[in-house]
Amino acid sequence: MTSKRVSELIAAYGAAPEKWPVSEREAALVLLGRDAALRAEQQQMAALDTALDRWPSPTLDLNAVALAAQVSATPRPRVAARSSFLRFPILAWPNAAGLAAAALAGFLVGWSGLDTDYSGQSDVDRQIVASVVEDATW
Amino acid sequence: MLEPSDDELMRAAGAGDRAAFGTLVARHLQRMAGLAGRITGNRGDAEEIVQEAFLRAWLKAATWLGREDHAGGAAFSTWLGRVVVNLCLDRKRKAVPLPIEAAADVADPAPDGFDATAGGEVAARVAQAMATLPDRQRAAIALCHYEGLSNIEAAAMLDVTVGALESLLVRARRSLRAALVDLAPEGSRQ
Repeated sequence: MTSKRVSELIAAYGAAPEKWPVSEREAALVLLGRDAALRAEQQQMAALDTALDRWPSPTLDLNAVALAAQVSATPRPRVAARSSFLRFPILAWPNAAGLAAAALAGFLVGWSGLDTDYSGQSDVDRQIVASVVEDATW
Repeated sequence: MLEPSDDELMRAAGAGDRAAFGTLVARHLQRMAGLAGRITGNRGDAEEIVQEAFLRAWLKAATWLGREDHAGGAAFSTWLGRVVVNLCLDRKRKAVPLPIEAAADVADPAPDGFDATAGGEVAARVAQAMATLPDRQRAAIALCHYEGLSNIEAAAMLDVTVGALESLLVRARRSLRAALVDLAPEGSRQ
């Protein structure tokens, strides 16, 4: 703690030590006790604090019971399941795993040709295919 | 009996418990009203802002992740204070002049120094001096001097570092001292 820092505390937080940061208060008070110049600064700031305290706390025309009743009557939009995943992130992994499994299965089915059904192919279809292949070889 | 924490009340409110929400409002209304009143300096604006802030709390309750739920969660009072401060600053920022024809139809958004008369001439002078401060400086004084919040809480509500908060406070106090110098006793004037 330095005299400069005590001066900064007074300039920022005012004359009352209880408004200074707790972590610095004790050391600042020790220094203040030894330094008349700092005490003069504190006294000057106390005059401003006194003036500020003359402005009473604003009173609003709000009643807690009525306000709570009015606000809590407001319907909430539907909440996505996302909230429970944020609270318990482990719940999110089955979703991701399911999506990945479905994607992999789709790829394998497409790649292996299992989705192609030749059983219903008519003779006409076979002839068309054969002629196309024949044309292509010419 | 141990009072339920803010986080417990928010979780209950999130599950639809309106009484729990009522307890939260009762617990925080006075501080939020004081904060909004000091920053806006206008009763109508302050009332609307406080109502809006609690409405946001009600809507937020269903997905609330507080300090008890999550390591990075916010204290409810800090979260609510930040909502109020932001609404106050946004309101000041968005204030636009209206055509003169509309003047009779709207509430005056200018600082009206409400309640200042209760403290007499000095209170009116203080209210006026506060109204001339830049918004963030006024908010810093409202949080630290009037609401007695710690520097860490106040900085979190203003979304600035503690160093930046101190800078706001120093500049605000310098301006206030200049504006109110004649109110200080002879011996304490610089």
